[in-house]
Amino acid sequence: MTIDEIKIGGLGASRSRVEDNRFVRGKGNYIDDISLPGMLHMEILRSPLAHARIKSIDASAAWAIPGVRLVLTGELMASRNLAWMPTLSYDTQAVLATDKVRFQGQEVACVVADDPYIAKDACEAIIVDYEPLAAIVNPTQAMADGAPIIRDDKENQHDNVIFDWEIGDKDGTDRAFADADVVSELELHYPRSHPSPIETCGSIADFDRSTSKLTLYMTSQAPHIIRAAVAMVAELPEHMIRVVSPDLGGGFGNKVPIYPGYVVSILASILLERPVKWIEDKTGNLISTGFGRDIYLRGQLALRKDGKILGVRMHADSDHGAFFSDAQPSKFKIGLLHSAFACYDIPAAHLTARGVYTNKAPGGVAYRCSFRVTEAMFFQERMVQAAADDLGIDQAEIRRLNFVRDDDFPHRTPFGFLTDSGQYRKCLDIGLEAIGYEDFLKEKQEAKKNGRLLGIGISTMTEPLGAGNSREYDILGIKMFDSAELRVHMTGKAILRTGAKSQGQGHETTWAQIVAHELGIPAEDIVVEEGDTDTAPFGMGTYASRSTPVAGAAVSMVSRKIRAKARKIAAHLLEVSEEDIDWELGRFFVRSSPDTGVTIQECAMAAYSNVPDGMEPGLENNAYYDPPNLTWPFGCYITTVEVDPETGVWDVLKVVAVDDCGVRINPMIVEGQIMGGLAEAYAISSMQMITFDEQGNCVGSNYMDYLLPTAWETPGFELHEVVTPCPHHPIGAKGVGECATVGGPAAFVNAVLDALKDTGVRNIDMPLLPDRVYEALTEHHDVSGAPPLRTGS
Amino acid sequence: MMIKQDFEAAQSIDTVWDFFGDIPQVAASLPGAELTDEIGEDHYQGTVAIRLGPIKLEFDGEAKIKERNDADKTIVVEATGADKKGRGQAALQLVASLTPSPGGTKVDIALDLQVSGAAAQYGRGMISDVTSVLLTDFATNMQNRLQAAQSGLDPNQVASLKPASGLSIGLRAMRMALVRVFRRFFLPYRPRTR
Repeated sequence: MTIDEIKIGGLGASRSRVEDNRFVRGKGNYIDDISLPGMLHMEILRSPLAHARIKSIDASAAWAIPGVRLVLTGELMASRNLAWMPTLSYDTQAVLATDKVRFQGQEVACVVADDPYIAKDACEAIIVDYEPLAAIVNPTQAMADGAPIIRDDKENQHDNVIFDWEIGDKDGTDRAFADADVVSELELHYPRSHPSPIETCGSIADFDRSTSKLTLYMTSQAPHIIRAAVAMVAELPEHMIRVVSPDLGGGFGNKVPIYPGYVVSILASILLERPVKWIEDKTGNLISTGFGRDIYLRGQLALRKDGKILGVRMHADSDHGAFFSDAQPSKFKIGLLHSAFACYDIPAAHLTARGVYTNKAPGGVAYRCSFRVTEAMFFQERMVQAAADDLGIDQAEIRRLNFVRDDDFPHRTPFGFLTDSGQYRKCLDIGLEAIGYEDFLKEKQEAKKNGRLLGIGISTMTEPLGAGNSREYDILGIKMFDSAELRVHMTGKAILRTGAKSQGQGHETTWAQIVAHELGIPAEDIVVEEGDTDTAPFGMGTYASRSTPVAGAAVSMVSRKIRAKARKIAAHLLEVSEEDIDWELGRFFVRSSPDTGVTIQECAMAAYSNVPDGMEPGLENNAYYDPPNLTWPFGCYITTVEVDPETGVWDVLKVVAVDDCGVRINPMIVEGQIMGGLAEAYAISSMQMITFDEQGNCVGSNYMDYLLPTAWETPGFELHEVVTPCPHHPIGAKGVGECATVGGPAAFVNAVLDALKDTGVRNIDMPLLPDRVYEALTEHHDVSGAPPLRTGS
Repeated sequence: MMIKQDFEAAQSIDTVWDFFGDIPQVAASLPGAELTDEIGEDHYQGTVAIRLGPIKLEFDGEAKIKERNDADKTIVVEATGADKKGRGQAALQLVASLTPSPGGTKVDIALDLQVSGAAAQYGRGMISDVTSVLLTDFATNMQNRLQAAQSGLDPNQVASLKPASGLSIGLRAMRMALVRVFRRFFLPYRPRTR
């Protein structure tokens, strides 16, 4: 009688991904698959220069090309008060440049034409007269005396500084340093990378004059935020805006911000009263849309001789590009960088951060990361390794010594977060066992005698996933909760809608599994819909690994509301009082007579055909979930490498990952997420960097120069798991999508530096390209910074 | 970005050196280049047009012989230019040095090229590929002109390769790029573990 939860695709079932059925058949519905009657096409003319004054724009030749319907310039946008738009971080951003261009690739003009080729040709025909200005490509230049002011459009902006921000206990930290036996220092650069989803950004704006309704199909990870923003920027009433985010070909944070292309396509559709489609090309995506990282970090650890960490000092200089348009919670100017050192028991810490403008693309996004935790954890784990080396202690031992203990939860981190669960030592021990730690150390010694360089790197971290709670987390004042709406039909089948938006995470599969777990309705009987603001309940979207912690919890909660109503119906059907019935998966039964019961499907039928007196018919509800805290998954990543002393090339020998993301809803999808994250971690540590030259030219604007690893380069991964349920999440789950990307890079870098330990090299900045490793190896110095200012020190 | 290339000319070093002294001849050998004016001693104005797939860049600019060393047979040329439609700028320093070789003369070219704007976005790989193609064409044209002169013909009557046309440059540069991709996958990297 009892239902097997795995068989119905409930919690813990490695159910095949429902969405893959259409993806592998080529039946996905992406933005560029959508074609509307009478649709026109838009193309963007981008700035070739990083910093220049616009003297004039002559678009007459573009207008003269047959098939051109509209040429939009900053001047025209300004006449509609749309030349500038607000950003998600309380700054402003140019939609189309009017006064100056401030980064290479900035949007200068748009052409709408009968087909995209005419539009592209017409962009080529626009003549822009630029007066070049000196470009600023890093924080050092931005903060230098006499540096040209990038944002001279802003009143009261007399330098290139965006913010100065600090958190922590300065006096307590000073005292900890006064008591220290040893102070360990490190300075590093986390290079600019680009999330680079395979599908670029795009939109189709369709304004219907007869109904005054705007339908906006677009590539967005957070369609409801877009609807609110469009309502505010374009001054259209919110109920007359429908945002539809169709299937997304990846996002990784890149599809959170609002880009000028979206805005211009809306205005073009309003002016022309026809649908206008804009599809960004790959170079446009790489040079102008939200990047990740680009931050200079330096810090100190106050240490006792035995390795105990007494205090932390950190400073960040963060390069935000020409406009401060980071997508992050309003209260935290440098994201959640202060989540660093959360897995260690450290009495005192102090962090200062400064954000600056440069002549580079704006839109620092959380590239597969919960608001700069990637930088935080990388710095933390590089710092801990440096401290272990400085003290001559084993790198596993120093972590074990400083970990928060299993019985110390809830634990207040040095910067004030509250972690609530974890088994850090156990994860580390499993990882060390799997990699064969002791044996490898011996092998390393042996190899050294033969001139071979082997290294092992460890990275352990807990990160805050799933913003909010809404007390502390909001974007532009909109609280970061999430929602779900469940409608059970008469025959026991159901439709679920949430405010999240899958970009490949597999929501259509896993959300149904949560409902199956809560109600016993087989997962295959539940269809999941997201991304249409006219039908989905309000939500903040999918990024920062927040879907499972927030929207996933809402799915649980709405299912429980449904179950509560079904229980009343069951009591009515069984003719007993509610107190006399019990629940087992999929069925209510009379406690004193367990064979007498009704299934959830029978309750559903009754909800539409036989409800008790006084009860509303139907079986549907919604839930808005505001999490009491973030969730805190833990990851332990260990890699071994061999460095070729002749060339600086390093090969990965083995990668072990131990992840504790609480209860796993679909273990197969979780493992896929971890492998994807590890692949990106390897990419970031070994090859991936958006590079600029002295003039601010983005020389990482194509896949010949911006290197992504293929299946050929990517090493194999060995995965292990520990399960410590989240104490406050309805089903004990924690976020996982980003853990390996966040924690992984330090494991690779630590391993390479471990191989180079005896050469006196303390740091090589990512990516660890062979030339950097070779330079460090042969010249025995650190290799730091990003081009064009990369220096040996 | 530094691009180095060398090639052999069948003529004697003095003949080749004389050729390099004749800037109009040199310019005529460079695909897509045209001298429009001589604005001073060893100082010229001209245009360079490069068509590459969908993008056509036309640079207006100046070239100046910065150094001419008869003893070392080395010439240094500096040039700057801006695209007519404001889509980019280029600056270069070209050092050509001649040494005698068994077959005639070896010409070493060291080209330090700074490109900004639309062209820069093609990336270093593509720019160096395109430049290599242009230099190869230059070498061929120079040979043709030198041979024509030796045979008593007017070098200007010898058909030079067409001005940097999209198809041929694009295809040849793409071939080089594809070879690099091929190398990435099949040549240098040997994963130790799978």
